[in-house]
Amino acid sequence: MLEIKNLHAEIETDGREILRGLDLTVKPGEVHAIMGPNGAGKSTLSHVLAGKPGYRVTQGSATLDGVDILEMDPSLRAAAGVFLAFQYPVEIPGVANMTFLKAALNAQRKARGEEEISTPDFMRLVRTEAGKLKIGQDMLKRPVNVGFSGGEKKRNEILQMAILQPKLCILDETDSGLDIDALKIVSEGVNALRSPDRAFIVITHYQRLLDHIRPDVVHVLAKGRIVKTGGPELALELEAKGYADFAEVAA
Amino acid sequence: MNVILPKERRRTRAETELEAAFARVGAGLPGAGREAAFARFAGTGLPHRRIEAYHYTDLRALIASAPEPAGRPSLSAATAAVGADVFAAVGAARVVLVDGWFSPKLSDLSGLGDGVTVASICDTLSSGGSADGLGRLIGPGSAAESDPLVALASAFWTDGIVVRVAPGATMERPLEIRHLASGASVTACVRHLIEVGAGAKAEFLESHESPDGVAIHAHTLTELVVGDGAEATLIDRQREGDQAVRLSSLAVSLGDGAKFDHTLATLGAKLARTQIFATLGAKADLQTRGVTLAKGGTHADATLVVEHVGPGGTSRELYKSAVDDEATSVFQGRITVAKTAQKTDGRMGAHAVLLSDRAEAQAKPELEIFADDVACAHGATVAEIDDTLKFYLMSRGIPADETERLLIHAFLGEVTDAVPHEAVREAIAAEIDGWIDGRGK
Repeated sequence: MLEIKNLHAEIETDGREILRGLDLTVKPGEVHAIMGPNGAGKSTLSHVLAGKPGYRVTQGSATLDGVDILEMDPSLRAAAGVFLAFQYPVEIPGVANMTFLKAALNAQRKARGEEEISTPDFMRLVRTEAGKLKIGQDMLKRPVNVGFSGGEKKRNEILQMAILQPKLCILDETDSGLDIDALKIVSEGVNALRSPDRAFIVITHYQRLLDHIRPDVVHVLAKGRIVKTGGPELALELEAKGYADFAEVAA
Repeated sequence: MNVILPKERRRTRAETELEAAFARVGAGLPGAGREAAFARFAGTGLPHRRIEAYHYTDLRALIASAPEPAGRPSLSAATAAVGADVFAAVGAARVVLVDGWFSPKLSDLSGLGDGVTVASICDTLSSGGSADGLGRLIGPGSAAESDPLVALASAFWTDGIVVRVAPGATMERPLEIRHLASGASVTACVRHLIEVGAGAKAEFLESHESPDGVAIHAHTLTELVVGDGAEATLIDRQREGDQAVRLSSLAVSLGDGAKFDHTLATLGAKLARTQIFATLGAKADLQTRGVTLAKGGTHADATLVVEHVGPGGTSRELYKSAVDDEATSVFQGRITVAKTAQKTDGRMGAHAVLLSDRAEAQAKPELEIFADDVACAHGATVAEIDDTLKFYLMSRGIPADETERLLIHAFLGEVTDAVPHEAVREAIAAEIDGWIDGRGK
């Protein structure tokens, strides 16, 4: 599904290279965890895949089902099936959550040549998915993420994911700032979305999230490259030993 | 009539044209005080950047030429000027003025209820009726008196309406005042006097419209008295053509315990300046909000002069503008709190979003406080659309242009959502949408 080859990317303003020849293949139905020390390039990888401005790709490619996504603007990547759950979801005063969800869903459908969703169907969809994530009417009516707690913001990310039904979900440190109950709700939301034709990249520092969202593959990212790949046991090993070994490997 | 501009200064072409026009038509215009008004204007001429109140809106530079004063259009020309009414859904009674002339045949004054009278100023004066109160709010001692645009409109006005709402009366439906243009490039000057008696309730809509390509200079001078304990709303929508000059002055006095809710929507004109001179009595409540959309090479200015005179008054001013291309928006707001106005609660905000690198916004909020027990604040911001918000919305599939639409609406929403009357809110939101559709075209 996702094929990243020799990806190099730098910060636009100062030319600092963050990704230095990253290779990654993710197949449909798989959950890949990406772990690694601070500054390894985990968030940069998620930003570059989603198309956040401020990065320059200097080499390599990233394709989704064979289509190069790096040339697309962020909205087209989303319509193609890329979804980034933000580490720090943005507050948007003046745009009601419901309005936003509907605009996003219809924009994606339009980009794919599909009909707009009817209002009753949309309301039903939101009610069902919001209910699963314990998101009340109040949060839906309020402006996007404004006045939401950390946990509410993350649940709202998963709600968007559930409504937009992307092919490739990238979770950027979704566990940061979550208490145990919120972590459980969020993980259940993610697990409910697991399916044979959807893939996940779960970026995290901690094994804890992976107790709830069981990965198929675990990668260690250090200094802009994948330096080790293994099964779920690798996450446990990292939890015990830390990243010191890998920092040296990459150096 | 012979009023001569001071010799020591070279007159601009527009000033010379105004002088010649006044010499020609001044004597034939109804009412008193014309010469004195023109002399007041002539004392300064068109105000320029060295005059503080016009520092950001230099009319001497912006107004190259002054078109001929408008004659009364024929009924057929006036009828042809009437286009679709954006506020039709409100179901208001209607006054129609074309090129500054009241057209009774195109107006519908029914259903306003007992105690409400509406008449043309010209008819009132020529039939020996009373235009009592005309000029009181712009007379000696008022902040408006020294303003050159007020003086110019006072010299040239051709017609307008006198509305009186009797004490305790309630207008049964809003009154919409439509200022339309026949399509001639003329100077059109209107003057209104509105008196809302003590304890009365009244709602007004104004719509200023002209087609693109018409170099009309449209002046409106309104005096509005909101009596003790009365409640009035006024929604002023301006959608002039791309060559039009729109110059509006509103002098309003709020009596003790009076409430006035005011909305200004400046949606188009080559040059627009709207000034509001408000004085507040004891425990009076003024809410004024504005939305300005400016694009191309246009210039839009909203200037407020708010004077708290009585104690315990409240004023809220919130003005927002979206500025695209090489356009300029200007906000000036001065809240003065007199020594007598203890316990005044005033809050003013002016915010602009710049949609292009060449767009410009100026904001000058000021507080002048002479009382010692007040709560007053002001704030101003000028910003671009936040890239972080834009990326977040785009990352969910919303294309760049739709993202901007959502964010412009969201930015202006704080103003537009507060407009009383759902039908008016919807009409203004639709106009904002239309403006966004036209961006870059």
